[in-house]
Amino acid sequence: MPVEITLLLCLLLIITSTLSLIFKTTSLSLIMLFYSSVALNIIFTIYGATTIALIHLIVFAGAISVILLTTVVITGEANLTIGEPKRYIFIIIIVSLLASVLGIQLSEIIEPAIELVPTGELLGFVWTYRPWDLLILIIILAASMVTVLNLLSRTRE
Amino acid sequence: MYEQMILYTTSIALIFLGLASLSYSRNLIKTMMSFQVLVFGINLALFTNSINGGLDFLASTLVLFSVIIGASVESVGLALIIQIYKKYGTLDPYRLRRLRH
Repeated sequence: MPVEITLLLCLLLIITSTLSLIFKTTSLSLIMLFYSSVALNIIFTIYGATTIALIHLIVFAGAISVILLTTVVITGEANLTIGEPKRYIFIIIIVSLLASVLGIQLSEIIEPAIELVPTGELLGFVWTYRPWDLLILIIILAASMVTVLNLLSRTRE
Repeated sequence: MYEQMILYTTSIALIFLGLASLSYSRNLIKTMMSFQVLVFGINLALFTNSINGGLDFLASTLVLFSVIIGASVESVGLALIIQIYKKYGTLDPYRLRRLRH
């Protein structure tokens, strides 16, 4: 994969994420967050992790975006306060510069992981080697669903 | 090598952006959006570690777990935000702190 495409996608990811945090209008902020999620999914896809990309797309670009939109509709918060915009943008620029320096330093230090299982399917690997982790994940997911249902139920009122 | 460097830099930028916005935002919905950006950065960092010619499935599994746990935390957080708004009528953490007393 050409480096330029990765660079462009990463730039798109950083720009859309930053804009989603800077924008005061809720709808624009949500659209930018959606685009950043899609950019991340494209990065996953071009490096061969199609399963992760699919799950990520369903969960973050799909379900979580809908829940965020529902929250915004229920609360009626059309404008998202971010404090002082000039100070906020200054902080974000400093953070981006710091992260660039840190990232370059870290990429020279960190050794890439050893390839454990070169072939096969990700879900097959999880099912075969990490079944207990999968069970714990299902329990966490079920617990969060029950909590959300309990919080949003009318009987509590 | 260059690709990993770019991806690591992006992931660290996203993590720091999320942390900065988490600590600075004055709206709980914006806080959850910052958390989502933070989760994106963490997922990308985990995924970058798995790229080594092919794909390391253990690191990919960690990304999968991170996605599901991040989604669970975010859905519970958003449900809590709705309840907070119903009770206090505001989503500003500073005003909420004053209203509590």
